Amino acid sequence: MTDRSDFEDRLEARLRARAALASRPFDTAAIAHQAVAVGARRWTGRLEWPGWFAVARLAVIAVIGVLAVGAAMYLVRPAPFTVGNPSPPRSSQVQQIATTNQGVAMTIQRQDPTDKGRYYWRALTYDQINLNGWTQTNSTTIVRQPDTQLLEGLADAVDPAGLHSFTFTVTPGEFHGPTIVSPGMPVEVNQPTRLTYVGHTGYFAMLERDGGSGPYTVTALTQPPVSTPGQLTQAELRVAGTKYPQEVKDLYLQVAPGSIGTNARKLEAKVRAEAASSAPFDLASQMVTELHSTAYVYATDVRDLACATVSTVECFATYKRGFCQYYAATMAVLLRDLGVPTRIAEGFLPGAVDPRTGIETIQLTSASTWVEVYFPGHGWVMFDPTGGNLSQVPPLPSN
Amino acid sequence: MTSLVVPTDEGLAKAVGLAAAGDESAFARIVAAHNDDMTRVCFVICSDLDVADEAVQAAWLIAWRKLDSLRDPDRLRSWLISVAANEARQLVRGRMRRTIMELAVTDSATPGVDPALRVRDLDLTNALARLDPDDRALLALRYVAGFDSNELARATGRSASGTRARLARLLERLRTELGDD
Repeated sequence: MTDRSDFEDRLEARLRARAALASRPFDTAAIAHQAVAVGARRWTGRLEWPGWFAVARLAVIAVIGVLAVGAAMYLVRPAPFTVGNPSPPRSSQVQQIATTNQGVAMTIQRQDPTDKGRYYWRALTYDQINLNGWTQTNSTTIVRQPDTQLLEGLADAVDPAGLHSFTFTVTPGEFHGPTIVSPGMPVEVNQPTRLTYVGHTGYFAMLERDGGSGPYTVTALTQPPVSTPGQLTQAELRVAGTKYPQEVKDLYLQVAPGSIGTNARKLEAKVRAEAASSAPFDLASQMVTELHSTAYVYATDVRDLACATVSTVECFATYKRGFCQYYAATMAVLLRDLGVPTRIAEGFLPGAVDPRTGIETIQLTSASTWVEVYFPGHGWVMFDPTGGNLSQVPPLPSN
Repeated sequence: MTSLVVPTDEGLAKAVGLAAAGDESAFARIVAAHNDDMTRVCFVICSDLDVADEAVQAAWLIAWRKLDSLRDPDRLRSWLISVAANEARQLVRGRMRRTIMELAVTDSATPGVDPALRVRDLDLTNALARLDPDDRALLALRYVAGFDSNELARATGRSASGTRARLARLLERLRTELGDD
């Protein structure tokens, strides 16, 4: 007979595995707003309304009722994620202090131990950039079975020709939610997944495990490693042109009113004036060069800045201090304003690889935000504008 | 650093103050940090995703209204989870009063899960279904939320020693029912 602690360990593991089944994406802003709105509504009910307001009051109550029913229907979790169901969108707020818990987010074992690539591990992308945050809009979630082509039939599907196939196994640590991380574009996972995309044609937003909490194996397609034949070049991107798909323009060129103030406008003009050409690649490259310059200070605590009433972009352009969220928001929004489609990406910077085991360890503190820029014929290419020598994106060869 | 990672306790402590003063975005940061843990605990108590979600949403409403009564921000997590667990317990009890509810032996949450995994988990699901909602709450708080005996005592309104004794009896019962001898 085993002792009690053994049984408790087994019970705990089983209960936690069972509880993990309830872990799904949720709409933070909607949940918070629902609680705040219902709380406010109760308070409003205590007011003495003038008699002649009776009809109006009934109308207001009716409208609130309809909205509440609508909200409730919206908040009811997508009945078990079946093909085509809308999913609760993810959203993210820019913060004032960039501290995080210590700990190992995950460890990653590469199938090919000779692969020495330094990969950014992307978890999420966002199409809508608000004044002080970002969100996924009009998202759809579909279920994909193990070892099927995740992006088949979607706009973000990539042509494997010329790309580097990279297979790895992630063992979650502190980052143990359902969200799957991958460099480049994930194409296969060894277990059922839920793929969330935005737009009608399908641009990647996130990939999650459809149950389970243990290790998972992903095959992704990435750009060929540095200094290998077929690597994407600056010259190719420079001539990619601006014939963007209509939905790319609809989703990834939007700039929220009020995002760009006086100082952000000056920064945008400076980048445009100093760029080698008006080609989107040169604008993006110059934006990175500008934000990596010593004029900008990487700071993890910007609570002292008077930015309560301005956008993240205007705040950063004014004070030139901030961390990844500030750099990424600034680059993404100003490029959009220059007509270059961008999206925000969140994930983890490359970790340390143990040379003996080939296992890469990703720390929670490596969580970061960067920018992806759309190039016709090439799809999304990542840029990391964050300063403080944190960027680990190698430069592309000239040609 | 991004919102992928839960903010530190220090960051959340500040958010508590702001949210208590009416800052909705600070409240949203608290939601982002704790909603998942609350849902997991409630799911173990309810065995139904929809009921768990209902309990968690009710808990957030209580949290918004009573956040200013939370004297020690370090206890934010245990307080929120306790509130959610209590709401889940009450919802399950309410439904049991209205009807004789047979808790589902398959998970509404896992439509795409391998049936073999479901079968393997059936004995646990059935054992949980036979427990009183209070006992399921105790298990969820201890093993899913990781509460220590003092936190369990505060959450259940009993003494720490009384809670430990109850948990011990519960474990013996489960060990027998699960055939884990």
